[in-house]
Amino acid sequence: MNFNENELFGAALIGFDMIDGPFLRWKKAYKDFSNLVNLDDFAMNFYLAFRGGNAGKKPRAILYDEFYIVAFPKDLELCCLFMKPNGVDKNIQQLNKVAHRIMTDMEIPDDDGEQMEVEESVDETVEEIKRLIVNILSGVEMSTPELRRYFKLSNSQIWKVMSELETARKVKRTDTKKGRSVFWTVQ
Amino acid sequence: MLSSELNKLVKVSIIGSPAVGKTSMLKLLSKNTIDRLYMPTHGFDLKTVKMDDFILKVWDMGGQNQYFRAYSRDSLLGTDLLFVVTDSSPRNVLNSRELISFAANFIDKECPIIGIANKQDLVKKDGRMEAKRVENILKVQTHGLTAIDPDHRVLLTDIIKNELKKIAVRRRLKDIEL
Repeated sequence: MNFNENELFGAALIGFDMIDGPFLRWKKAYKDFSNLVNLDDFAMNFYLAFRGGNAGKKPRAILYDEFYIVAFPKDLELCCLFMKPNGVDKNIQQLNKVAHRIMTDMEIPDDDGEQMEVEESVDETVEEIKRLIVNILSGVEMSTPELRRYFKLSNSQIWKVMSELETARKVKRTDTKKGRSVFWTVQ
Repeated sequence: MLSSELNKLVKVSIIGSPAVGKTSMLKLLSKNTIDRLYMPTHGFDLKTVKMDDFILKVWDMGGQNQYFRAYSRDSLLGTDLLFVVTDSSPRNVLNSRELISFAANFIDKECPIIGIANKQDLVKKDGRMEAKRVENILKVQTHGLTAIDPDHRVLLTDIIKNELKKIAVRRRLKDIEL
């Protein structure tokens, strides 16, 4: 392996919101790369480039003029690593570990509700989220953390939505258990 | 490409809010296995389906706002047949009405818009609307469908075949005018 983690000059996690589509969840700069690419503007393009369509081959890395991006999907999210071109082809597996480590590291503060400011949802958005959750859970079981990844919601917000759906008898808890996660399906 | 070949090409676009069953409808049409686990379409998915003498290029557009805002103008261009899919829930049907008004700006006036009142298997279970009610709200011809039910493929192909006949007539008339 000739991979050197120091070649990494930035990382970003592009999340996916069921209503708005891709969005930049967070970025981490090891060196300044703001002049190379505006991530806020390009988040959706990167997401589409790596995950576009439903089937077929998907790229693992895309080489640009001054940098390349290696992206690793995790559920609906996409972790992008920005690097200088230098014999990356043999290093994909190593980079995958790095990406997952970064994602894990960045997930910890999120559990405490400190990493991302979640906007207070307006009633209309909450109603749309509820409609989508009922559709998504039709005929399948999913855990609360899995459902949360479909929306820009904190733990407390997804629980509030699920509790309201449960009270309205739209969804119910299932007997499935995986750790402490509660699984849901439609009534 | 020869004009005779071009005349056989038909662009079918499928639009609608997220998680209403657009991709399931495409899979139903292309005889693919329908997976009940939901995975959103990113951007759009394009499939080719042969039907009678026609070659359908079916565009399944991701329903998320960002995708629709960014790509609807370009991707709807040249559509011969537009499907607007709803999950038949009252709220979604109202949203779909707005979607129709928006999409109408980017398609030809003669392009038929067909409403699909999907998830009809759930109508009696959780207050979704029957196709006739959806049609009254959308004000476009609307058909009920359960896209996850392979038996409904015939229903969907019949709808399309019926529209293909009209498209063929319109194209012939245009050729004569030219």
